[in-house]
Amino acid sequence: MKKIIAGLMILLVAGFTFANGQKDASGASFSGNYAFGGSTTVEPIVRATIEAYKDMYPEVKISYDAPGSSAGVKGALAGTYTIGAASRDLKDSEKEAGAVGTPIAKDGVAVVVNKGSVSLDNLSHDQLIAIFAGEIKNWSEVGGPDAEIVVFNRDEASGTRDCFNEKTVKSAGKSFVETAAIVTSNGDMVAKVGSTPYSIGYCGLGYLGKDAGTKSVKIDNIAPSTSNVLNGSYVIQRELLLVTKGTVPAGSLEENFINYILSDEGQAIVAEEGFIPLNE
Amino acid sequence: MKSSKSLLEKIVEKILLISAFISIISVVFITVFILKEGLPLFTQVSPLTFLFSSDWAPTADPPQYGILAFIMGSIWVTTGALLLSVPVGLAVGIFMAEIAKGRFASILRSVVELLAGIPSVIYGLFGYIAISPIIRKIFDSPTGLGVITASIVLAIMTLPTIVNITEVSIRAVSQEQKEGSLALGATHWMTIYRVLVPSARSGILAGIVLGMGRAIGETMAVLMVAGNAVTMPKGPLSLTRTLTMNIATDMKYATDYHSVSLFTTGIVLFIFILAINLIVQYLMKKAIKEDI
Repeated sequence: MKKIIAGLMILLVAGFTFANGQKDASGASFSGNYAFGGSTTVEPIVRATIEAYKDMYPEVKISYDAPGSSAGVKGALAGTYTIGAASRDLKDSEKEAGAVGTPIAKDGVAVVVNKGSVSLDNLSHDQLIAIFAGEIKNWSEVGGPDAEIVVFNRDEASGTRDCFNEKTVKSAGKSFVETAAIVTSNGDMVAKVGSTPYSIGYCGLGYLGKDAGTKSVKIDNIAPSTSNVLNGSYVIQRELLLVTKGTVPAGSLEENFINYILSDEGQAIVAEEGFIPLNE
Repeated sequence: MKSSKSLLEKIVEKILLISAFISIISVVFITVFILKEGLPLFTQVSPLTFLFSSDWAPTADPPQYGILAFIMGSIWVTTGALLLSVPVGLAVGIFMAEIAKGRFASILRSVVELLAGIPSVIYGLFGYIAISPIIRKIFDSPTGLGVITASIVLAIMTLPTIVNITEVSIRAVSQEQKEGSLALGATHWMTIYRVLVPSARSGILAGIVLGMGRAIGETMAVLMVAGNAVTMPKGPLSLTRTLTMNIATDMKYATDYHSVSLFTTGIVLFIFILAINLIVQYLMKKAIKEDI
């Protein structure tokens, strides 16, 4: 046991030494370690972009940590992330503190239900609000099976929750039902809705179809599709942002990264991941 | 040769001394730090409101900081875990100390040790994938998440602590007592439950309280299976959020007094753990005295 612990310690120390060594190896182009983080909605886009980046700049190591939009903005302001990501608009207080958001994509927030147990495929906007405010508790009240509605909600760090709240429950002057189970990411949301009978939740468009047990429902007979988000008929929508503290310094990797996502190649990645490119 | 050995001895002594100091300083540092970060909350909220209100809306305007629901969540989940793990843990501990023999005993011991080494995120995953669907079916609970699922996962996690300390305490009972009992004609079973278990009770209790400490401080696994709803738990099937879950969920985005309130939650947790440790130390001392 002691030998194992000692071995692990040596490995750890060695790991740190190597990690630091890489920083010193300054190449001609970009190199070094960068920490990004924030929204779980934006995560697939940033991850795919980091993959593309690996081919262009093999010396660059970028990590992405996904604790939620508010954590992304907080991290960018505190300097823990050089780029934060958010799936909601910046608050005034965050802008005052120096946060600058660059839109990189558009997205709708789709309502998902458990596929095997919930037969209906349309809800009215008012029904949706009543369900998430805890006023409608049984699927039979909205034309579904006679079973209790299991509501999944996101935690308060979530930009998706923020956007969903603004466009539904909060717009009706109500607040979320307190007894909803809280999940901490888009991935967690589709996994739990997919595996829990009679459940309902919401996620970014890029997460639709990622879990075979879920299906999306139309709101007021409007499907959460690219075209409906773009023409404004699907109202639960937002812009996805990359957030920096102040404007990014010219010639920095951060500037290069943001410009890459905004380029045609980067926007193709956005579309590939199931989100809506800005130029559409 | 002799002098070099004593030099080595001196060096080792110093290293041990420094290590001891580092642990003491760490504890002092952590205590001072969370007090300094957490106490300023009481300029905004009275301690009574903080402890005995269950209105938790830190981002509302005006913000509400009441953690009673989370204290109750921790108590529910920990009590549930102990109700399940104590009987099983005692049985396995007694079995390992007195009944299991040879190869089988050593396999059993490695299994229990392995149980202690599994990362808590794996327990959480196991709870979510394997236990919650069963709970959903048996109790007709809508999500299968909540107090009871968290308790089952925590019970499995606290088992090794209770098993090991029970085993050690029973082995520590003096051989004369056991032999005396057997010589008087008592069966092995009577000896176990009339002599060995009562003699080892302080040690066993210490094990249980130590397990309780583990259960109350556990975060990752319960975060995955307790549902995390900000609501007062009403029964074994309620979704719940414990003190540790509240800190883990909110810390990543909290600012200003919201962030301070999480350190204050930490102080409450710290006091719980401190009380538990004092009880363990008291029981352990008593156990040693009884031995003599």
